[in-house]
Amino acid sequence: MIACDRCREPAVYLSRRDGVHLCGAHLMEQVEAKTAGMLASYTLADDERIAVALSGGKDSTVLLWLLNLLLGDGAADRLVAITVDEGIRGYRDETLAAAQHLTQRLGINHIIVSFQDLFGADLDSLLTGNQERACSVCGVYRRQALQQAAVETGAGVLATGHCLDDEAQSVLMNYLRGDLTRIAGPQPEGTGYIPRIKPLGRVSEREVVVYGMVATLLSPLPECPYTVHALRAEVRRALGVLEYRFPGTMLRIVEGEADLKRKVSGMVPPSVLSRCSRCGAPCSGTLCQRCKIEGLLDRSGNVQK
Amino acid sequence: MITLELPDQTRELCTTSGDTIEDLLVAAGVNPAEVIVVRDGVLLPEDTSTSDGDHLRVISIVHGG
Repeated sequence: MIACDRCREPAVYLSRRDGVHLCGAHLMEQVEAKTAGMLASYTLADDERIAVALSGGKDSTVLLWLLNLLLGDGAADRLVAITVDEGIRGYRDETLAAAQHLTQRLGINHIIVSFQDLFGADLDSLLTGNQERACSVCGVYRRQALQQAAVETGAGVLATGHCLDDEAQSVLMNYLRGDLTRIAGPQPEGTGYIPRIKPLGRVSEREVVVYGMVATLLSPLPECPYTVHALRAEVRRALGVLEYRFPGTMLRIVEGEADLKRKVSGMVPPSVLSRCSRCGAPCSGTLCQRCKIEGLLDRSGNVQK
Repeated sequence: MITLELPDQTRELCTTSGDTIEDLLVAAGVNPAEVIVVRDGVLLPEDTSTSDGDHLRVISIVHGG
């Protein structure tokens, strides 16, 4: 048995970056402290309503649990969970049930919106013959669905379950795409856009999973069948190898990006949002990303020649 | 004999006891930074030494969606 470096109870986790072993209780304490730190870094009013994107997967499950814990008395009144049902057969039903179970357990208001209701088609139909575009199409539609639902709840911010690994992957993907605004610019500004916060942004994916297991929040869930097609999957594998060989790589990437943004603050203007001329959603051009995608797809969801 | 139950449901049998979990994962082609390991329902750090008869369940932390 390997002992926790803080209390000598059996360790369940090794922090590879600093070689520290933690028992379940101290791992939970560490995750809660990191999340509280991130939460404190955002400027939130005392009674500001927080919409939480709850897929029912491990990250958003742990996020909602932690927000409910950290906000203390009245948390259930400030939080509202939003689940987007994209319409992915063999995947979304189970995570939807998990999301419902969690919100009922915590007494948190839960809103479920579907691609079918909002956009007239589910993801499976939209992607017929174009599965390799799944994650980019789904991401665009899902962001719009979450924004729309968050506006309707009166929330001031939208919290997402992005953890340190997701953030490091996003930084690298922005470099791979040469996207200067996302690399160095601030969040978009404009009417109708709810700013996003990422309270798990300094908690690694391993910490999230171990926390969820120690807190008995997680049960085995299916993996999204479209994940294999994503650029993110390639970046994730590469970063996973680097993190193993050079522990702390992901944290250095994310902190380096935050440092860069502070240093160049004001030099890269934010995307100023206006309204999509077709559907009225907030966007940075004349057409939102969803309408651009729909312009490229025919009525069967196939890319138009 | 040590049994590794991998995330894809396959099993790998290892004859070397005394190695750490990390050693066995690397030998099985699994990145130790992308999994957690459970023995008898208990989570273990990857530098834990293994013993003959251990049954180790390897759980992937990576899930899309």
